[in-house]
Amino acid sequence: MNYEINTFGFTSFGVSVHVHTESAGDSLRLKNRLSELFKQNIEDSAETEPDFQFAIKRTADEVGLFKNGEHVVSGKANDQFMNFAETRIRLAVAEHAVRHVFVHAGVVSYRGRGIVIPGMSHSGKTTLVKFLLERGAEYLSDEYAVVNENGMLVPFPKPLSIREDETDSLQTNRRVEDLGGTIAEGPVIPTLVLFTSFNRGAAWKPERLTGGSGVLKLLEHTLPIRKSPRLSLSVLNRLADNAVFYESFRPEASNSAKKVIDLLETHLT
Amino acid sequence: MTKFLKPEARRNGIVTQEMSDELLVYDLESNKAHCLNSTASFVWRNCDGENTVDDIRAEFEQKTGQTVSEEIIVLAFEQLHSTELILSSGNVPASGISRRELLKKAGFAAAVALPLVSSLAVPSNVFASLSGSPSGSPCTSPVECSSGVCVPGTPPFCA
Repeated sequence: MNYEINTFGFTSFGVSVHVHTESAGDSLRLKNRLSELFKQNIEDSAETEPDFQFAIKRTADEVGLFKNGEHVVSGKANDQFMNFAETRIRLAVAEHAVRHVFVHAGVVSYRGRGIVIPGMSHSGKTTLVKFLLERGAEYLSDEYAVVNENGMLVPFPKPLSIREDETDSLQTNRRVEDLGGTIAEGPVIPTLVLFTSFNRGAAWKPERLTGGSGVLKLLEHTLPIRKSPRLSLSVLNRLADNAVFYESFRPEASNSAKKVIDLLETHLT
Repeated sequence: MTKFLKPEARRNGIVTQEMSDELLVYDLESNKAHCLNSTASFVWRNCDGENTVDDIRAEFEQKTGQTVSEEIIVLAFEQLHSTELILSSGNVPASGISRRELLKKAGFAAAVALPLVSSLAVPSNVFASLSGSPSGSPCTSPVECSSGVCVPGTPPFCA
């Protein structure tokens, strides 16, 4: 069975990517989603030699994702597969970005000052981000804190991957506008970096960390640390020039969001 | 014995980043990151293979204006050695005292910060931080897993 190959390419954060699909619908969907995400940092690059080539190929009853010719995953041709493909494309950019460091974190801006919530998947950061948006924060990302070489935060506004409750493993993607929120204009000065995770019944008891300890903890979530340790340390040091670092367990996000904002406001001048 | 030892800081295979009064060190070989507080970083910087423990202690006293016991310097050596930030050639003196004991001895209002080296092993698996179910979670399809691998089993689980 022959399929027409649809190709589009983009360069974002200095990383050039080509995406090949055998379905015009898949191509359009990915292109629209990635364009929206990278719109502040994107340019067409179909003609240049890309850093990464992703391909989505269909067989009779499955689709497969390939990265630079190597098979990544196969599955049913559904939304979940496309979400997975997008995640891996975003990851390629995040790991190899030029002059920017990507940290796995939720990020919002409140009164023009950035709140960074580092954390692995399932740590509850998207839920906390959602409740912060409800309290008037503006959205930068629920996936990556993108720090430029001046230590400032750049928006990476992918749709929020919302879980119905903090223990649910199923996610739905919701655009921030559909949640009544707005996307922050970057760059944003980072002011508060908060290491926190949901712990039912936990008391909110933020403890301040030194700048060095804070950056050390951030490295656990810093995607390019192994590939680009010098850039990572330099950029996060710049971030630490402006930000304070805290850690605390937190109860439900609905009860924590105000506490986070109160903590930020104690450091606003 | 300790007076004659001349520890040497490791300079190869690491990346350093100065912070206000701390030092971050990334070990390229072990992929571990370390944060040295002001005391530990001062000791490390002065481990040049020429300075003895006594030399470093004297320098530190001059810098801080406080009397500093040799135990504090040696405690720093122990931490730096255990994190492979001091070269292993030659013997590293043992302080014979833990940080907790030293803190108790010096009092909580010690004029100088006791040396502290905090360490973290950087994860090798970036997929662990991706959206999707983490390792060990039940799955029905590879795309549910952040790793992209759903291991067949009863029940299947994410790699």
